[in-house]
Amino acid sequence: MNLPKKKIALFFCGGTTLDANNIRESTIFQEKDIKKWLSQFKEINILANIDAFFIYAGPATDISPSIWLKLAAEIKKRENAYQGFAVTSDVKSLLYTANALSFLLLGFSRPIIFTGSQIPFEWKNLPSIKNILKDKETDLGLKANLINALQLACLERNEVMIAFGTKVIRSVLAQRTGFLSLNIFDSLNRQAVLGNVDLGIKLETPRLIRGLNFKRQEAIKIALSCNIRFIKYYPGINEKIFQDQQNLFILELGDFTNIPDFIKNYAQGLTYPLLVWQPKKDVFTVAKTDLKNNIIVFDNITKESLIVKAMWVLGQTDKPAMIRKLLLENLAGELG
Amino acid sequence: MIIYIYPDNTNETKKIIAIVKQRGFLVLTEENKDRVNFLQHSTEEKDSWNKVQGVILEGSHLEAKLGYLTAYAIAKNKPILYLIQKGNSLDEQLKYLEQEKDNFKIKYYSLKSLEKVITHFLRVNLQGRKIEKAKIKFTLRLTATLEQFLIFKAKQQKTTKAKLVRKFLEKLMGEDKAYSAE
Repeated sequence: MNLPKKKIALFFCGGTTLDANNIRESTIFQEKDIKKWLSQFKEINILANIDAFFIYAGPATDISPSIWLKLAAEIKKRENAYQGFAVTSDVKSLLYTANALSFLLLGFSRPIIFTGSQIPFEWKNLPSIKNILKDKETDLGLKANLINALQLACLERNEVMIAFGTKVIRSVLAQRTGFLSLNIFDSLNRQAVLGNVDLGIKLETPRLIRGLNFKRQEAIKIALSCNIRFIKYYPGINEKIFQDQQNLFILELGDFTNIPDFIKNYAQGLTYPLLVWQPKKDVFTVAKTDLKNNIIVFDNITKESLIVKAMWVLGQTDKPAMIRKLLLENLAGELG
Repeated sequence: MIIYIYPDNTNETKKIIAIVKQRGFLVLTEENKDRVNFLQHSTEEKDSWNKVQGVILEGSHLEAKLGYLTAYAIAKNKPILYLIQKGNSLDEQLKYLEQEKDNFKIKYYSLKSLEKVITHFLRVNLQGRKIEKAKIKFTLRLTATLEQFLIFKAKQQKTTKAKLVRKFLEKLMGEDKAYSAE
C-alpha cells in the first residue's frame, strides 16, 4: 500500500540549482537536463506524482512577458489534468512572474506555488563560490523550498503563492526584503503572510475570494501589453517623456510627497490615466487620486504588482474608461 | 542533541519518545514545538530544522505528512529513522529511497525490539556526526572574583574560558530534569 498522492505539474522557469557546491551539475540549463536533475532529487516522488515541464532557464534579465504568457498558457491547458502547480524561478524575477500569473489566470481553480533557488544563473561561471557562502548557515539551493512548494500545491487552495524559507506569502502582496538568507520575501501586509513552515506547513490566513467584482471572467484574455513606462521622479525630469500618448505611465514619487504641477498638466492630456506609485509612509502625506485630472494614486500595492497589473489591463482593453475601472478594482487581492 | 519525533500521539510513539529521552536526548514533537525554549534564539533566522540533529518517524499508519517530513529531512541532510511496526506495509517509493539515500533508514520493529532499534540509530547515526557548533554570541559581565576563578580553572584544565563556561552549562543542562521533561 502506498501513501495517497496528488498529481502535480512542476514548471521550470529558472532558479533550479539544487546544490550550491555543484552548480553546473545540479541546475537545469536546457530541457534535456531535466532527467539528470530529477535523478538528484528523488525524494520529491514521495510527495506527489510529478510531471516536469521546461519553460525557461536563462538569466533573470531576459525574462519577459512572452515567457509569462507561455507559462500561463501551459498551466491553463493542464488545469483539469493536475491538482496543483509548482513553478521554479530565479528570485530576481520571481515576483514579476508570480504577479503575471496572478492576473493572467484570474479565477484559476488550482494552487500555483512559486519558489526558487537563490543561486543566480551568473554564478555558474564563477571558479568557486566558497568565499560567498563561507559564513552562510542557510542553504541557498532549491530542495527545501521546492518540497514546501510541492506540499502546498497538494492543498486545495486556489491561490498564487510564494513558498520561500519559512514563509508562505500571497504573491501579489510579496516584496523582496532580503538577500542570501533564509527568508528573502515578506509583506508589509500581515494578511498576505498566509502561513509558516516550521516542521510542517501551517496556513493561517483564510483563502482569498477572487474575482467577486470582476464580472468579465469569461472575457479574460491571456494577454499582456508592453506599452508601459515606469518612471522614477527626480527634480529636472525631462517633461517630454510624458508626451508619448501610446504608453500608460507609472510614476514613482519616491520620497517626494506631491505630484509636480507640470506632470498634472500633462496627465490631463494623456489617453490613459497617469498612475502614481506612492507606497504608504507613516510620516509623509501622500498624493491623492484625482480622476477628473486623469490621475490614480496607488499607495497600497507593490511596485511589481502595479507594473504587471498595468500590463495586464492594457492587454485586456484599450478603452480608457474600462482601463480605469480595472485598475481600481481589487482583482487578485493586490490592493491590500 | 535534539531529535524530532512524529507523530507523538500514538502508544507506539509515546514509547519511542520515552526511550529517546532515557538516552539523554532532547525531544521535539508537534505537541511541544511551539513552546520549547531551546529552539528560541534572537539572532538567527528561525528554522527549527537547523536545531534538529535527527528525525524519527513512525510510519505504521500512512499519512501525507510523513511523506513531507521524510522528503524534507532528506533534503536537509538529517539522519532519519523510519519505523514500521511488523505486519504493516511500506510505501514502495520509500523502499527505493532507502537504497539511494545514506541518511535514510527504514526499520521494522516489534515492541520487544523497539528499544534496541532506536538505541542503535542514536548511537551509530547521530553520535558519530559533527558536534553542534557554538555560533551564538553572548556577553556576560563578571565580578573580578569570578573572573579570577575562571582564569584559574581554564588554566588548570588547559582550555579556554569560553569552553569552560559552555562545559558548565552543558553539565547543568544534562542534570536539569524539568528541562529534559519539556
